[in-house]
Amino acid sequence: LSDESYDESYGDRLIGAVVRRLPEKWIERLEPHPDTIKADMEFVERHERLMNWLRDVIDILRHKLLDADQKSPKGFLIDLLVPPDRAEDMLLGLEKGFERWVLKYGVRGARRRFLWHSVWSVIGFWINWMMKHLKLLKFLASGRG
Amino acid sequence: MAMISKLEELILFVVLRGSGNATASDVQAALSEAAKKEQSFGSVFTTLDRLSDKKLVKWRKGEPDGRRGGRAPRLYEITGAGRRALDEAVRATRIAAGGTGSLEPWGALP
Repeated sequence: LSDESYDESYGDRLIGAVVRRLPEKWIERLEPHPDTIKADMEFVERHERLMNWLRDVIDILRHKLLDADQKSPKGFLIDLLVPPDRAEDMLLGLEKGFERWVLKYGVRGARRRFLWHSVWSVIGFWINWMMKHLKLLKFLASGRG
Repeated sequence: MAMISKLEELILFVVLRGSGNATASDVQAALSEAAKKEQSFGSVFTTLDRLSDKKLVKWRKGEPDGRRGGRAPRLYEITGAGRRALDEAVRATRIAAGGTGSLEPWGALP
């Protein structure tokens, strides 16, 4: 589904498009006639049921696709390269950010940002770690001298 | 007391405003709003870690979120040393701007 189709009227628009393509004789059949009124009523009811069923199916599919699309990326990079106790909070922060970005930039834009921020979070974490340990080494070296 | 950077100062303000419940995501959102551009999560995480190492903020685990695989966020809170560092940073800014450096108007900080 493209971003444009994420609206409530998607099912209705699709049904409208299907109805517009129905053969003329089917439409004529929908016009009531005293002789065939009972058969026509059955025909209409049958098609109404069919339309409702079709609307439900479209609705379910749309929500399933939407849910699958809007799930945030897994964040395997952080899971793999950052200690678990820090990774947990990082991933939660990025997932919340992802929810905001979806509203602002769409799903693709949000995914790009999630990946970009993940990469820099990992790099930042290790640079910070190195700086901390370098300071400790310098401190120990100066203590010996 | 060592001076803190502008980013550290801003983050301390957001953490202070969060009243002990500020998450990294809250901090990033507040900074992005203030700067009118997306603030890097990487710099927020590393600055929070640095502030935590300097004991200017402390954190505790929040409630695990079932929707997110039971992961729990870190909830940040400013410490007494953090408050003093923030006051000092604000005072230094005021003096640099030609003010008196009095913290009177900031006395209302929680």
